[in-house]
Amino acid sequence: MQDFTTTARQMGVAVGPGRGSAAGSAVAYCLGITNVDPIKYDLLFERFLNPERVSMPDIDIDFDDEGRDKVINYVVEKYGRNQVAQIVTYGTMAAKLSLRDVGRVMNIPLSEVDKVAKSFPNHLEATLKKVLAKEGIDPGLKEKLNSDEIERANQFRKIAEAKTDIGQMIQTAAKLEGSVRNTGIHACGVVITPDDITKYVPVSTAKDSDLLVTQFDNSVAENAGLLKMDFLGLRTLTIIRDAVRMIEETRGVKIDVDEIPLDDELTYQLFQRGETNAIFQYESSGMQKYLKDLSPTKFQDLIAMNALYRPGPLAYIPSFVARSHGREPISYDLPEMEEYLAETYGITVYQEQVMLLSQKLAGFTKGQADALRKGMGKKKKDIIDAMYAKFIEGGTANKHPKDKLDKIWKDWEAFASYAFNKSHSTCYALVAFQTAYLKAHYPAEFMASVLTHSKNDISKVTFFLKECKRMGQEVLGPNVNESASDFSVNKKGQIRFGLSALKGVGEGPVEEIMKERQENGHFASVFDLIRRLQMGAINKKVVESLVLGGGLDCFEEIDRAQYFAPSDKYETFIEHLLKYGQAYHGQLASAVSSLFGEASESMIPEPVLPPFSPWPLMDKLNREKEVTGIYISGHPLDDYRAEIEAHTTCNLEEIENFIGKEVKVAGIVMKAQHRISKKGTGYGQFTLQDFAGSLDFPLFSEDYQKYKSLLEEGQCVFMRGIYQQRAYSEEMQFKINEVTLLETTSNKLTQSVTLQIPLEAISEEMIEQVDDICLRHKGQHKLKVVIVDRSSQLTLALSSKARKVHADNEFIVEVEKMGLACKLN
Amino acid sequence: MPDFLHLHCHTQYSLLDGASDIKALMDKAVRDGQKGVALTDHGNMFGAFKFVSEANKRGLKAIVGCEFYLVEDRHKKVFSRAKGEQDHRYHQLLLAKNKQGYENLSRLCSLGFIDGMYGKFPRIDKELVLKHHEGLIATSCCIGAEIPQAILRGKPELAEEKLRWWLDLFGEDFYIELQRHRNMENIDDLGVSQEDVNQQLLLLAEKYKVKVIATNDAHYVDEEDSSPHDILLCINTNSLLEEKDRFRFPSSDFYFKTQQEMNRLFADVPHSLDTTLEIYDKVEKLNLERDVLLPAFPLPKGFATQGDFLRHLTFEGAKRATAPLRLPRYRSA
Repeated sequence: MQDFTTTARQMGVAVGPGRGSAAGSAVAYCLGITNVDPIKYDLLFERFLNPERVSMPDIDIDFDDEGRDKVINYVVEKYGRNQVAQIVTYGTMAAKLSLRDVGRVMNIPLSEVDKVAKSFPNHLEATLKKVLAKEGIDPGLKEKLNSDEIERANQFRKIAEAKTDIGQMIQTAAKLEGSVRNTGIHACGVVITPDDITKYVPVSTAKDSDLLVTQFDNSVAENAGLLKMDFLGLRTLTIIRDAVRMIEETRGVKIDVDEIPLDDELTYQLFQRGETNAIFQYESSGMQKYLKDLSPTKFQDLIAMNALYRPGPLAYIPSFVARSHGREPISYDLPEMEEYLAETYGITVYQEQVMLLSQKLAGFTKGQADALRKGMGKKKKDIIDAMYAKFIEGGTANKHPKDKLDKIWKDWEAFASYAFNKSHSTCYALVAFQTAYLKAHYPAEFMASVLTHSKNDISKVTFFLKECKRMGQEVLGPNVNESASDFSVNKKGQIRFGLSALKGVGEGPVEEIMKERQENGHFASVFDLIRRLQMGAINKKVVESLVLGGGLDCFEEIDRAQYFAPSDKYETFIEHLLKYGQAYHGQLASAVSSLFGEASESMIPEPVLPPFSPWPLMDKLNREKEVTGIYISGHPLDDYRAEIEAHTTCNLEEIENFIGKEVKVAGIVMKAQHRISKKGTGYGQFTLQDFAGSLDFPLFSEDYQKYKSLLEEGQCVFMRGIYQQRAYSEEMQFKINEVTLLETTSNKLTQSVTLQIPLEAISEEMIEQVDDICLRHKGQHKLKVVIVDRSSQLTLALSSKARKVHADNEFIVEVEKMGLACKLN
Repeated sequence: MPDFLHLHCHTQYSLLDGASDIKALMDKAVRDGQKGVALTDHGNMFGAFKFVSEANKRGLKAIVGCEFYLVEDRHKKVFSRAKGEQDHRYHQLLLAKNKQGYENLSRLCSLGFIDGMYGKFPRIDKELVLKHHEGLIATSCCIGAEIPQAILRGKPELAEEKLRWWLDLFGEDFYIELQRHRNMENIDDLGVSQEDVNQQLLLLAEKYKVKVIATNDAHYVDEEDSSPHDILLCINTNSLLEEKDRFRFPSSDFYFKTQQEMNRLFADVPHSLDTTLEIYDKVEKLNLERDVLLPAFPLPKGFATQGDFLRHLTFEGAKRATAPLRLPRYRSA
């Protein structure tokens, strides 16, 4: 293992600080297998290995997900292809799969099969055999089902008993449930044998792997004598690695994430504000809320939060927080317990604490302590009972009162099963701290890396772009003169979209563009671009995508729409451009063989820009979205988000629920079609869209005349009216009472803005900061402040006489950046 | 009534061909008073470990084997249809007699995948059998095997020649295998029945003094499981149950029969039942569990043992570790 981690680091593969109990070994730390110093964090070796745990220890190591294969290749090279293998997995037919398979073979309509499959109880442990057991639902399962699911299970039994095709299908599916359907490969397990592997275990091959694959699966591999190591790929490590690389490139700062100070003030502030989007393991909104409550100031707090934030122990977080702020007293059943529970404010958070206390209070050996931990974790009653006797005996021998011991034991039984492996939490808290450190100190590079590694998931990209916006981090669209292949950071510290984010622009063209730019500098114009790139490097599709995505906006003399306008005898200017390039390169080639080559360059004139009409904004944005998957320059409604939230009745998707009532809605006009009726009067068909949905509605006669000028494509509007059925028609209409442009009225809608400030957050510095923001955003909105004391649940509402502010989006973003909640009224 | 045990059994690990759950199979063997049971999945040994440990739990003797796909040349993977070529795969049963046999079985099985994979069939050839036959028992196997196929196709000399090859190599460890399943009166429309083949096999057995075993090609545990098994075949071949010409088994006889049923079926050749017990005696009890084997890590010069090298690396690493060493608190307590 030491060999692999060391070699991986030498190869430039990021190695995680480890996961699991191996972090409890100082030897593993010295060897570099883990980066967590077990002595510093009071981690226990016996959690990893002890005389009573004779099985091979598990050492799982994370590598950056791109480097993982390199490490495996190294292992294969070192030990030989015939001594290394991956591990097989058996794909079995689970209940629903079994139903579907059998249903298909019996030619039962898919819809009916689906209906049956969906009616099956959703519990993880529910199997057909258990639900259909002869004597009634398997009692073990029944215990775990809620009444709703039991009802479903009973219904299901009835369907299964029927003498119908469906009944037979279910009975057969039950018989075949658990059949091995196919084999696969374990995601991360690798085994290494001392010599030819076939001597020890039969192996097979798999289509999607060059490595051998054992025929025995993970559950028996170890018993069959195979040393199994988990080589896991962790994307976060790749994100860290690439961020570090970018920081060095853009700022010339070399960072070793293993050396960052764990008392870094800026990093803790980020955790305290709950700004943990993109922070490994701390990004959920629930976690963010608790982080704000806790306001962590030391690494121990972060370790504890990682251990606590999971189903079960979650319930202890409020108490943990309250105790950390001194709002709740910390008490110990026995004073001797303080030593190990002090760091978590008297709450048992870690398995290690139970282990240490059992040793201290009742004289358990380290091995016994680990056995106790295992027994409680897995709720093995026989082990727990045996240990109980020992605990009482040892505890009373140490002169501890029996009633106290009993209470401690009861508590352990109740929540020790929730207690978490501190070694593991420490490792992951460390990774989290590293990402948070980068986010706090190098936000542009960090977010660029995060965006790059989320690029296959548009919703994630959108989410992180929003996060950039909240952070005040500028993100610019693609640009042939500045973009790299992936997201990158420019000299001004702005994030640049990568060219590979554009649909239809493959690796080849991106490489060509970047190579030429690096060798000979920026492109002066689109003609320069065409001339300097080898013919064939780019085609029509590539240029189109570059244009639509804004990649050529740096050549300001040409509008995006102009590229698609007819030019000379060509359908579009793009085609004209390409023809020009062809002719140019053709001449260049012939010139090489000509003595008078030099003079010929100017012989082909650059095409003249064709006339065009510009695209409406929404068109432009929608086309941009077509090739990038998102509104890079932001959704046009983004600027009014707070106002829309504060002043509309519902969004356009929910409008169905408000039929016949007056509602306030807002959105952008996506479509406006103007027509003339047979009678000669004008009417129109409009589409309004907001963040959630869209609304189509017609306007006739007077209303049409009155509002048509406001309802122009691309306009962001606010509308008051009634959504109802048209007279004598099935069609729905929106009977407008008022239309205003968001741009001009959004301010008028807002009367005042309320800032919510937690009592504990108030400091001189904070007040100055708020004051500063208000001064910079002077306006006509009243400023209100509500001070909240969470511990006593009291609030104090104040309103400012002296200050009035202009509560636009910018103001809100700045306030929220301080970690304060903010509401428009 | 002579004792009997099954030497030809498929489990769920014959992927969509076998329907037997290993535990259910073994439970039935125990209920029926059988002393042991064999595992002979198609081309693989996926189930071997579980099979052996489940058998050991129940005091049954596990006989680990495999029903291989045997071809002329395992490397040949291109077949010219124009020349009328196709991949002729014969079934071939091999059982491990002892540890060495198990290792050879494992090797053959692995090489079937590594060298011989064609479509979804891992294939071996006689070259491999020659090389890795020590400790193995071979049988003439089912109707899909070399010798029965030769008989079926009306080539008795060829059948005899094939038999001699196996006999030469395996000697006492080669057995003639008899199977009796209903609805195999006219195999492949050749006008030959399974029993016709059996009679020819018996003649050969007498001529060459080869012992005979009775087996049942068990693909599921009980007879009533034949229809779920049939559905499994449909899933495998992606066909509908109602299709007429799809692949199916000839009858519902392919289950794990009781000793009594087998006795009735082979009442006329009782020694074929006895011989299964001979194999039982011949096969050594297997235990596939072993302590974890460590990789053969190449030690750098100057270190006698891995322990020495580990110590060295640890102390070197400790020097680099930045944190000042201090005694952990719990020691002082």
